[in-house]
Amino acid sequence: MGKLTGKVAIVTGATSGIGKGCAIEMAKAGCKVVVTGRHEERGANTVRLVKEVGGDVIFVRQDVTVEADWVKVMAATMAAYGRLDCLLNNAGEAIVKPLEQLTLDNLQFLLRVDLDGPFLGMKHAWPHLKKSGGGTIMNMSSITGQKGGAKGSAYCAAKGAQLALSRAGALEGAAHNIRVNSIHPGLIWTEGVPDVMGPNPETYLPRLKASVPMGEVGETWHVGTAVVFLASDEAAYITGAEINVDGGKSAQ
Amino acid sequence: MTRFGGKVALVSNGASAIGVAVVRRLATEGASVMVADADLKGAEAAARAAGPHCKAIALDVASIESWEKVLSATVDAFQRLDVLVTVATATYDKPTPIADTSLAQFKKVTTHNLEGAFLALRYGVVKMRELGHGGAVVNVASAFATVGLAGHAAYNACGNGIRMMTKAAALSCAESKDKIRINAVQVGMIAGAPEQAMMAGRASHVPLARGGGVDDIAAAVAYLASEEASYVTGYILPVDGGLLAA
Repeated sequence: MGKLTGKVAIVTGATSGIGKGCAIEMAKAGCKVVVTGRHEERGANTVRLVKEVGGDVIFVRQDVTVEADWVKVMAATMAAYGRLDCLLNNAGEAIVKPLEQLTLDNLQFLLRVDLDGPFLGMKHAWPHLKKSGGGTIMNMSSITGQKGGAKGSAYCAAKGAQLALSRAGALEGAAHNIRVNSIHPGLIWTEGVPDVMGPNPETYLPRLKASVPMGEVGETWHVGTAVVFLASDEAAYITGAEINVDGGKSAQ
Repeated sequence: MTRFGGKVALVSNGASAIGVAVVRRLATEGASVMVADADLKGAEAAARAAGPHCKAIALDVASIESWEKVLSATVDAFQRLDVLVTVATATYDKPTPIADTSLAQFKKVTTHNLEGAFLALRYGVVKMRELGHGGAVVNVASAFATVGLAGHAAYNACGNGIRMMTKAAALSCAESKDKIRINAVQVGMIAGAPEQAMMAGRASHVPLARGGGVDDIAAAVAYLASEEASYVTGYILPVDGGLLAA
């Protein structure tokens, strides 16, 4: 019997990176998972990995910025599993550029994915969580949602706004036994890092590691275990919290 | 599921309500636990209730000699030390406005809570380093480490002191690559904790509109102390029903 046995979760942006890692850890804990993302092929890969650990899983193609896609995801979840206990708003985008080079389009793109997406997810999950007698929402922010970061003006703004959304959601959700928490990973290695940082990790990985007190870049399962704890009844008294998984970076 | 199978834990103020719950939780998940408390009878009862792999010992948290003796006794008894949990329980006898607080009253609380946590970290880290297998320290601090409470200046100060000392110690340990992680939990309106009395009549301030239980704290301590949190250090986890988000 796992910590999440009997529960049903939606994990957005689960076709790669942290979302994929979280879906796998949640499935290991007994959770049924609806994994979503824009890429069918990568989605099929996550489904295969979740099944490999014995998970019950479906993939639904979704762009989190499109409201109609949320309607589709909720319908697919109800059709497959008949209930919803947990939403992990993980899908996100990052742009790292000096302020003068950032365009308004860059900012608005990040706000759409990192803020509109979680907002729509919370709004559409809400009635289903209420119907389940409560549940949990976790929004994947970043340590840069708590502190500034050079070349991260747009990203910090989006992730910081998302943190405020989580806090407000926690206060409003309390009356319905819906817990809302914000997750703040530090530097976690994923296949998406080179897209943001550049194609040659050997040129920047030593610098990244050196910026973490523990001297290591984290792995996606490190975030996944935190998510499992938060989604479980063990965290029944934790809401409105910022959950850091960052090798000590936010302690500095 | 035995996250703490083969592991050894030491819990200070282990006879307090939170201490007892932490001892029980760690023991249930496989740990051998040394229950340390000034109240030896209470520690013995907690150890007995938690099972055959638990022992009790008297601890004066404000005494260097006492910490050295308790840490050595733990390793003598169980050959390891993987987890150290400190619980700070001292408060004024009753809420006391700042202008009415004597230095003696203030010091009684800070000696027990803040100096106690310092000595635990100071000597606990040294013992873990001697043993060389890393470890995890979890300090149980208060939500009143972050927000103020009239009549409890010393408790506020200790909470914030423990919170920041947790970060400083975590960074020191990370820097020295000793594989010791140091984190803290912040206690909200938890039945049996000092916060329960401090928040009497203020349940409406808690977003979840209810108090929590000591098992909520124990579960959070267990998460931070386990391998599941192996990339988490210098972090303060509130278990407060949303109090600090409001």
